[in-house]
Amino acid sequence: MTPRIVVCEDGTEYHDRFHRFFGAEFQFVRAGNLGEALACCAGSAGLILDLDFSRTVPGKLVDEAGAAGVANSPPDEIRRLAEVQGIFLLRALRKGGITVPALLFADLDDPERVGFLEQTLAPLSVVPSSESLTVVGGRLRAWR
Amino acid sequence: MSPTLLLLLLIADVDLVAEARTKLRQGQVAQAVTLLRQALAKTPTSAAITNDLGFAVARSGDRREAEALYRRAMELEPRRVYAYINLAELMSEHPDRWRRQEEVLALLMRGLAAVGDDARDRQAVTFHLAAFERSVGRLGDARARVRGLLADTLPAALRQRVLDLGAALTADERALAFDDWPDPPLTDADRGVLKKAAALIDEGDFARALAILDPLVGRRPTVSAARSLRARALEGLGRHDQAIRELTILLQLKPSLADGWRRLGTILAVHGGSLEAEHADFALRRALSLEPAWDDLRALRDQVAKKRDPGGDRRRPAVTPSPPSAEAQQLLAEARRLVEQETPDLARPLIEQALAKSPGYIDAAVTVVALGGRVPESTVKALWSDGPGLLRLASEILALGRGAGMRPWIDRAIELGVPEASFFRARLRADDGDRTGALADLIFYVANEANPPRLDEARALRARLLGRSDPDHRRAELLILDGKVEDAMRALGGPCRAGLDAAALVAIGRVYEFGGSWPEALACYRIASPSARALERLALVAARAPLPLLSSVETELRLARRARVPAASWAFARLNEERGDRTMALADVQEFLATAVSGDSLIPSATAARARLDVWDRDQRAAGLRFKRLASGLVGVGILSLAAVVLLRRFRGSSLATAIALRPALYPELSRAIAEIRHDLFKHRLSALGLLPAGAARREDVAQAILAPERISQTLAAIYERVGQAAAGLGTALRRLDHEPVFGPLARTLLQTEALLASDGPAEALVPLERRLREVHAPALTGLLGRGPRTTLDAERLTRWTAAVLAEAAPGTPAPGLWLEELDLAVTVEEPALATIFGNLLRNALASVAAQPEPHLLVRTERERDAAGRTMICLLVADSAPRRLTAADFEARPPDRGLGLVRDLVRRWGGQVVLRDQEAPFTKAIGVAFPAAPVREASS
Repeated sequence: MTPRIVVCEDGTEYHDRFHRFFGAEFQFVRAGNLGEALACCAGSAGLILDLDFSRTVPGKLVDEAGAAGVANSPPDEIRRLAEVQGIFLLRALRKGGITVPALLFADLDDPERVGFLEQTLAPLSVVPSSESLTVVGGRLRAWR
Repeated sequence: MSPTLLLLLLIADVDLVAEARTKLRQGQVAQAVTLLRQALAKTPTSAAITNDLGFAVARSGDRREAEALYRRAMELEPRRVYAYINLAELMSEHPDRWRRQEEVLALLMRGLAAVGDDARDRQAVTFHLAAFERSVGRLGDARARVRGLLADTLPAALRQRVLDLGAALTADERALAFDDWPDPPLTDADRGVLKKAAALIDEGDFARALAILDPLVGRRPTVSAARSLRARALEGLGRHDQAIRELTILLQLKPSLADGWRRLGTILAVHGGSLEAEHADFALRRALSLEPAWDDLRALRDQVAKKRDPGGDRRRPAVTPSPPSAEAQQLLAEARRLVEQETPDLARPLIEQALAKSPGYIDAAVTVVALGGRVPESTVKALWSDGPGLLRLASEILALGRGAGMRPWIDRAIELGVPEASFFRARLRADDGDRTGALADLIFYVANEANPPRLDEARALRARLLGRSDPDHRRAELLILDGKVEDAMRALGGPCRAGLDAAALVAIGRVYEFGGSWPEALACYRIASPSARALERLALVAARAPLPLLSSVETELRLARRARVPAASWAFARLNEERGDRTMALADVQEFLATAVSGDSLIPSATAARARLDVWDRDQRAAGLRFKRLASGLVGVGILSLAAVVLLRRFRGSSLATAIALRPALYPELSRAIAEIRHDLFKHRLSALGLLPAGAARREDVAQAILAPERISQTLAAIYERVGQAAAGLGTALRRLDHEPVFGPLARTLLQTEALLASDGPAEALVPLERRLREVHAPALTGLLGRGPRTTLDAERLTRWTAAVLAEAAPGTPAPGLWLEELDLAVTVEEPALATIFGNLLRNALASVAAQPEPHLLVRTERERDAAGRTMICLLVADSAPRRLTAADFEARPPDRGLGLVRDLVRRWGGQVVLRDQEAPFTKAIGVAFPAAPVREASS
């Protein structure tokens, strides 16, 4: 059976790219927000998350507690949530009992921050933009 | 009086006093005074009612009676702490406080002794004592008391007041330290000595220069040029300690001398150890605040950062008198015990015996005076050759408030070479109305000792004697030092426009210059032209500003050159070299070096340029000879010209690292650009490259990622162009993409990758390119992000910003307390932006508590980790105003001022606005949070 991986992003770039290069080995399912991710996660082998969800409509963003409904918040608050939405999404998923391994694609430039996230949202690996898809492919295969 | 009647009277007093206090709270002072007089008439020995009446009388404006009542309350009950506190508060605003400071201080010291071991009473009196000391310019003493208090456990309200006092002391120190002492007019002979000394120093003959400067400095210690040259000579001789001392005195006299701070900071940084690191950093910061163009000093500051030792106190030790005999000491100890037992008559003979044994026993002589006696002649005789001893005797008797007859002893101490005695004589002279004499003594005091212990007091006394002149310019200068460019501009009536007088235009130009706005500075000086000062500043700016700005001021630069401003020649040298006219450039450099004043900071750059141009000149001559021999001179010149053009094109404009250093405001745009490159190029397109050589992907899929929808190198070029436009908007031109040290190599690797994929080249050839992208270019981009501005939110900076806001606030505006969670919190935001944010937050807080009778304000910084794992540095201003602000309020503010400006700057620099509730006595805190700046290795 082809392992299913949930790709959480605000566009389709990750999904298209992973499908193009690893579509023969995995099934990739795109989720654009927490509701979709929760619906797709059951039985999945792992999660891929983008960090920035600036293209998502504000009403679909969640805050640090996992609560949605910030549509009427001031622009700065919406910007703040969108810029790190991948982390808040994963936090909400973990809170909802989703324990599958995850890859968060983000250039954090702060080893302490990476350590903090990998510890508090385990099992998680933070993947920088410079990492080759060859290495990323290896990470995905380890989930099978 | 029967006990019953006494009780009834006391009950009646209690009612009257309670009613009086209610009236006072309601502002009905006259009624309160009447009620308290009635109460006191019934119980005239009540210290509490006497003190309360004093307070009410003070509120009614009668200082004299209030003081008498407080003193009476102290007599009635020596431990009545509020009498001391109220007296201190009364005298802190008393116009006579300068003259009567010793007397008041002695009284408060007695209060301190009287309250005994009661910690809270001692703390309260100590605080008010420090506040009084501040009011008479004894900033050092007040600072020491504040430090002592803060080391103690204090009630929250008192701690807040002590913190406020500490901030106010810092502001006072800064304001006073900014005054230059006047240079005396020079004689022709003095000028001759200075010129000769400068020439000797330039020739490297430091010893002879020192030999001719020493007499001049000894004779005329306030001639700053002589001290400056002497410091250079000492430095040249490797006598760094002496050079530091000389520069320290020079800068006491001329705190606005940027070059002096530069030299002092450099010597301390290069030759000093960890104990001097703090001092070095201060000097370098001061130099940079006066001349922001000295980028090399920023690197030097990084070097000293690791050596800093904030605990050092390099004040000279107190003078210790020669010890009296053991027997005399025993007698005095016994006498003091008798005084404590309130039998002073028995004590006197013992003290006389002690003085008979040891006539120079200063403590005994002072005790005699404290008991109402006179200093024996034998004591004065014994101390007549002991300058420090005489001064100590005089100063301690002055501290008892008995200054009469001290003058001859102080004169003698001066004769014996005790510099501090000049300060005391200045005080006596000031009290006698001898303003000229007092100023002369102060100048002597400041000019003859490095870090004199009473420097703060000397500055305060000088300010009192002179009065404050030209408040607008003074305020503007302080604001410039604090980086408050826009506020300084407003204080001077800017921006520049025709019709303003030349002095104002030059002052406004200086503000622009400080803020790094060279085009605006040049425009001001151009309007003020042909004012000599304007031409001088214009040339100095042109000597450093980006070359494209110079073409608009060439006419004025020529005028400056005609007026023999050396920097104008250097500016022309830069212009001509840029235009490829190296012959003219060489002539200009030589002209500059021939006319520049020794020590001019432009000389090293000009010397390097001359060396470079000399090489070129020699090469050109040699090449010319060869071409002549070959009869193909024209071809050779053409080749050389072509090479020059190629080189000029290659190095025209700034690299990104330089551009950020010159224009930190470019950083947010660059940061966005790098984020885009990492996300769009590296993550979504380039990451597929490695799959092809591994046989894990189809060639057309990888090629499509790199070549569509547009070639990846074109995307990079578009991003770079956008950064270039932003840089141009800030007055800086970037190098061409292919010559930029980080983006250029990346662009070349991308082009090679595209070529390989487009030409069906071997997939293995992609391996080194892919590795280079990951291992070289990606870290280089990260490295650029690390070059952003870095501003540390330390106590010195926050106090400076606070002082700038308070300087423009109404008199009596409360200063906020300062609470720093850590000492070294830094953010990647340029200082002017952060200063503007802070200034507007504080002004908003001050405005919101303006109507409160007892406002509370606190500036605090803290580090926290947010839910996204970021380490955020928060800068908050807490206040006690009842009204809360919401995020929507913030959003609704207009963009160009106040909190609207804060909001927009926070957005620009990638931060967040923070709104929080606070515990009493505060209600809320408004602030900002920015990601912590990455830790930066000190450069070596």
